[in-house]
Amino acid sequence: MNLLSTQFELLSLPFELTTNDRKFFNEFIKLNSALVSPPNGHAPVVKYSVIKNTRYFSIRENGRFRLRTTQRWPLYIYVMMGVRDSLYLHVKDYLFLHSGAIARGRKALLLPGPSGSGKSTLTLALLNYGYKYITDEVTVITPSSLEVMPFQRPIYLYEWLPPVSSTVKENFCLHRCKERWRKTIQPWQFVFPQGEAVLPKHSRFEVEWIIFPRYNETQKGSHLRPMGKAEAVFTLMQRYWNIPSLRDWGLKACSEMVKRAECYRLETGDLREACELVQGLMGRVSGKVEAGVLDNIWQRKKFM
Amino acid sequence: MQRFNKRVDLLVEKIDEEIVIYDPQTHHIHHLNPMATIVWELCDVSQSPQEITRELTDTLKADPAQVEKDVSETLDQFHKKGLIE
Repeated sequence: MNLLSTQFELLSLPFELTTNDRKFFNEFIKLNSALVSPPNGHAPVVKYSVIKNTRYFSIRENGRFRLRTTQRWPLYIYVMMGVRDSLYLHVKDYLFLHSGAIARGRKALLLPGPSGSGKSTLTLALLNYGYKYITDEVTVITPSSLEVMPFQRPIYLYEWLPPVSSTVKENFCLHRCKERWRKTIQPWQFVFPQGEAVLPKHSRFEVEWIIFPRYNETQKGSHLRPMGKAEAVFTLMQRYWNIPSLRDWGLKACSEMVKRAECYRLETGDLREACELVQGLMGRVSGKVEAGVLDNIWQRKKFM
Repeated sequence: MQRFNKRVDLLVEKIDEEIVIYDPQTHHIHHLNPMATIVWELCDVSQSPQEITRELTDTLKADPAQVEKDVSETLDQFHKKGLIE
């Protein structure tokens, strides 16, 4: 059995992945190219193994069995969920928010929301307007300055609907996979930055805007409404991944961040309208968005 | 006479006349509207629901029966959520 192994660091926490599946290994390296840092000589704290036998893949974390699956396509997601949980457990110095983030210059927009709120699709769609991609799903905030750090994990969507124009495709890789899931074929899409879109790990962004998106398929028209600061703190606090470990300083940090930012609630059922409202707030960077790219992506999904 | 003891381990932030409370035991977050915020603050200085009602009625020049009902419901909520003992 040929084992392939890689070591990497995330927020200075050293990891190791070992597998005997070359296809998964290559995919893992490719998808994480903008996210991880090279090893810094420290012994790995968390070790994952993904071993394929004749019937299934077994995922182990530090030798302990975690999961078994017959499919290859969810392996990356399962391993990265484990990596994410390890960060919350071992790295106590940062706030981790369930949020997407983009930036214009040094000013960041956070898009916090639960699964299904449309934040990943919106984060991806806003890249068409020339904004920088900071992160999706996990937003990392530094505790002292309350700035956002790049955490450029792939944006993954359940469909093959790339709401991106050709200019975005120059700096982002669209990795599509299609695998059998029970009796259906499941299309997945991972979008991750490359070239100029990869941000230096030391870059930091001030939180200037916080928008809580809410996708509603029956929504007629899109609305961006200012939120009260207390309501924003309350809503944002529910989007912390590592709230139990924050204790005394989490609420203070959160309210300080909200006080400095403009906070809005976005209700929308139309992606283009949502993007234009956000662009009106953040200002235009560039971007001729090609016709048809954003036209009701959410509506189209239902008919596929 | 009923006294209100706010839990001392709660983390409280006042933002724009409203309060957000984080309960480190349950990890629940509570958002108090302006009325509940006033009741919460009066819990520090008042000895009973009647005293809070009197204070609020004088300040807001509102209907005492309505204020009494609101105060009673708010205190009930504080109790149910474990914010006061």
